[in-house]
Amino acid sequence: MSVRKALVIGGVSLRRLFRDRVGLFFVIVLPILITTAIGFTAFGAGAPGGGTLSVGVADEDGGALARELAVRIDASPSIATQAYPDAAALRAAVRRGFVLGGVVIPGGYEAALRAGRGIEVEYLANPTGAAPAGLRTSIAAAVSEQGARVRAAAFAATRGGVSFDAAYARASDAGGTPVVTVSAEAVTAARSVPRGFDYPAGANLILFMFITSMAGASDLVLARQLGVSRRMLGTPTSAGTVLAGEALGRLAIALFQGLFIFVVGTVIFGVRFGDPLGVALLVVAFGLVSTAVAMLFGTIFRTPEQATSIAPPVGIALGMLGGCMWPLEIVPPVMRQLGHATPHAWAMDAMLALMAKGEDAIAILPQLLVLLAFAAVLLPLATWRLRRAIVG
Amino acid sequence: MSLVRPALLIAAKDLRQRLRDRSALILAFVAPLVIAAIVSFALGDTGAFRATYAIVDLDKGAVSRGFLDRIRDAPGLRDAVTLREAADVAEARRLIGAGTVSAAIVLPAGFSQAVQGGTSTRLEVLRSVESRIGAEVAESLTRSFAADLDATRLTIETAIATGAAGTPPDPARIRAIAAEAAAVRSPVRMVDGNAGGRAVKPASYFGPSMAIFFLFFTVQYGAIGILNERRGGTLQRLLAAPIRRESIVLGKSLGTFLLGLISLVTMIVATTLLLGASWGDPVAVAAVAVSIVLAAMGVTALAASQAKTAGQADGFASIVTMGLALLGGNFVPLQGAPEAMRTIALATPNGLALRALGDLVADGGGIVSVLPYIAGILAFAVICGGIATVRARGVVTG
Repeated sequence: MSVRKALVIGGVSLRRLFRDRVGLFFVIVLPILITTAIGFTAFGAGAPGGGTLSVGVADEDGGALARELAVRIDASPSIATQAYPDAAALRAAVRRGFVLGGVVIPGGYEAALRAGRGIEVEYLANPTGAAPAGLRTSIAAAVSEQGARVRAAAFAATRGGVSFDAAYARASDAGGTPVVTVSAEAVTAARSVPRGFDYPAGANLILFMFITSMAGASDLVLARQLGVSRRMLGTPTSAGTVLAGEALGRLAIALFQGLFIFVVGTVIFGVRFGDPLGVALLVVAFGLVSTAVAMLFGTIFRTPEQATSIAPPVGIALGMLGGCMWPLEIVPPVMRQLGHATPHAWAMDAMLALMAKGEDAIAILPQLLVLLAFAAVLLPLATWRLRRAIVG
Repeated sequence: MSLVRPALLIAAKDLRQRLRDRSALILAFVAPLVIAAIVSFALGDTGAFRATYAIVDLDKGAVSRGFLDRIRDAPGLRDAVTLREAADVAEARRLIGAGTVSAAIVLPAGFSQAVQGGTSTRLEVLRSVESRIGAEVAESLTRSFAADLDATRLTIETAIATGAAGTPPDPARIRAIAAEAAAVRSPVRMVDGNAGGRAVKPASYFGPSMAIFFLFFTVQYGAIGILNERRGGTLQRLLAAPIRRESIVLGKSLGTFLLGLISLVTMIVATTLLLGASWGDPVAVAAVAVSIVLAAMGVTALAASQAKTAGQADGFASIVTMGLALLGGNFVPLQGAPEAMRTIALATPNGLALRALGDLVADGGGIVSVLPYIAGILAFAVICGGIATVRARGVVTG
C-alpha cells in the first residue's frame, strides 16, 4: 500500500469539495445561518441572562393600581412582559404561543379596589401546557403582594380619617418590621447546557460533520458510475491503497467540516468549546464514525442524487434523536435512551461535558470509546462493501 | 392538436416514475412523518415545568408544615415540584452545586414559634444561578407565603399609622382593630381563565412544518426533471412528437403538483391519526395546501431555472428551500421568537402557510379567516411560477 498515492486520492476528494460552489453553501454558509437562528430563537443569545418567560399583559383598566401591578409582574427577573390592547388580543396571542402566559387586569380594577370590593385578575396559560406551572406562581406572588397592601389601605381608609391613596402609600412604605422576611442568595451550580451560541455551535459541529460526510457519499457513487475507481485499479495501485485513499478523503472532509465550525464558532460567535485536546479527540473520533457512514452509504446509494437528497433528512432525524437540535435532557427518558442508539448522542454528551462542565479529555473517555466502537464496527463493514463494489 | 391529453399522459408517466423511485418516496412520505414524530415525542412534554427543591427544615413546627403543604398543593405545581429534605444548609448548597436541585428553602429553628408569637424571623432561599425559573418559583412561593403571614400585621400597622386607633394609639382600640383586621381578606384574587379556541400542540405545529419543508424538496423534481429529460434526450423526443410545447410544461407541472399534493395530504392524514395533530377546518386546510404546493413549485422552479445542469438546479433549489425554511419557521418554531422574526416569516410562502394553519387550529376559524395568507402564498406561486415558465420555454426549445 502506498501512503503517497492514498494521500493523493484523499486530496482529490477535498479539492472536489472546494470546487463545488453550490455544495460549499451547505458546508460553509448553512451551519453559520442555523447556528445564528437557533442561538437567537431558542437559547436567548443576545439577551443578557437569557431564558426569560414571555407574559402578555392586557390592562383593560389603565388606572394607577393596574399599571403598578403590570410593573410588579415585569419586575420578576424570570418574566418579560409584553403589553396587549385587550383580553381578546391577549387570548389570541396565548393560543398561538406568542406568549407563554397572560394576565388580564379587568376594567374597573382600580374602582373596585378603592371601594374595597373584591375583583379577579385572570391568568391565561397556553392550553397545551407549554406555560411552565412556575409562571403562575411568580405572577400570583405579584398579585398577592399588591393585594396585601390594598387590603391594608382599604381597611385603614375605612377606619381612620385618611384617604385610600394616603393609606396605600403608607402600606407600600414597608413601614414596620415584617414578621417574616425572606432573604435570597445566589449559589453557583454546575451547568448542564451552555447558553447563547455555545450549544447550537457544538451541536451543529456534530450535525454537519455527519450530514456533509453522508452527502459526500455521492462522490463515491459517482466515481463508481464513471469508472474512476476501476481506472485507478488499472494503474499499478492496489485495491488497499484506493480504499485507504477514499477513506482518507472522507475523513478529510469530515475533519474540515468539524474544524471549520470550531474556528467560526470560536472566532465569530465567541463560543468556548473547552479543553482543546478533548475537542480534538472528539472531532477525530466522530470523524471516523462519519467516514465509515460515508463509505457505507457510498455502497448503498445507486445515484449521486440519492446521496445528496437522502443525506439531509436522515442526518436531521439522527441529529434530532441524538440531541443536536435540542438538548436531550429536556426530552422524555425513553427518547433519551433511544437517542443513545445514535453516535450523535454520545458525541453531544462529550461536547456538553467539555463546554458546560469544563471537563477534560480524560472525563469524556467513555464517550470517546463508544464512538470508537461505532467506528470499529462500521469501518471494516464499509471497507469490505466498498472493496466489493470497486473490485467487483 | 390537443393540449390536455398529452399533458395528462406526461403527468401520469411522471407520477408513476416518481412513485417508483425509493428516494423520492422517502423525501415525500417517510422523512416528514418520521421527523415530525421525533419532534413531537421529544418536545411534547418540554413545556411542563419540573423542579426539585431542597428543604432544610430546622424548625419542624406547625407553620413550617403548613408552608410545605402549601408548596405541594400550589395550583399547577402538584406534579411539577419535588421536595427533598436536606439535613443542613451545607448539604443544600452541595445539592445546588451539583445541579440536583434548583433551589433550597431554609426554615430556621424556632420559625413556627416566632410566627405565632409575632417576633420577627427570616426564611432563606438559596437560588441556583443556573436554574433561573426553578429558583424564581421557589422564591416566589416563599415570598407569597411570607406576605400572607405578614398581611394581617401590615393591615394593623397601616391602620394605626394612619390614625385609626387614635393619636396616640389607644391599646383597647388596637386590640379591636387587630381582631377586625385578621378577618379581612385580600380583595384581589387571581383566577385561571381560558384562552379559548384550541391550542396548537407540538404535533399540530411540527406536522405542518415538516410536511411543508419536505414538500419543497419533493416538488423540486418537477423543474429538475425537465433538465434531466433534456440531458437524457427524452425531452427532444417529446418535442419531435406532435405535441404542443405548452402540453409538455403543463404535463410536467401537473405531475409535480399531484405528487406534492399527495405527499401533503398523506402527512395531514398520517399526523392526525398517528400523532394526534389537529389541522383545523378541512376546506380552509385544503385551500392552504393547494396554494402552498403551487407556491413551492413556483419558487423551486424559479431557483432551478437559473441553473444549467440538473445537479446545479438541485443545489440552487435546495439552497432557496433551506433559506426559506430557516426564515419561515420550519426548523425553529417562531412562536416564542422576537416579534421581528415572526414578521419576517410572513415574507415567505412557507411562513404564511404555517401561520395560516396555526391560526386555523388556534381560532377554529374557516377559510375566510385565512384568505389574506392564502392570497400571499398564491402571489408567490403566480410571480415565481410565471417567471420560471417564461424561462422554461427556453429550456424546452433550446
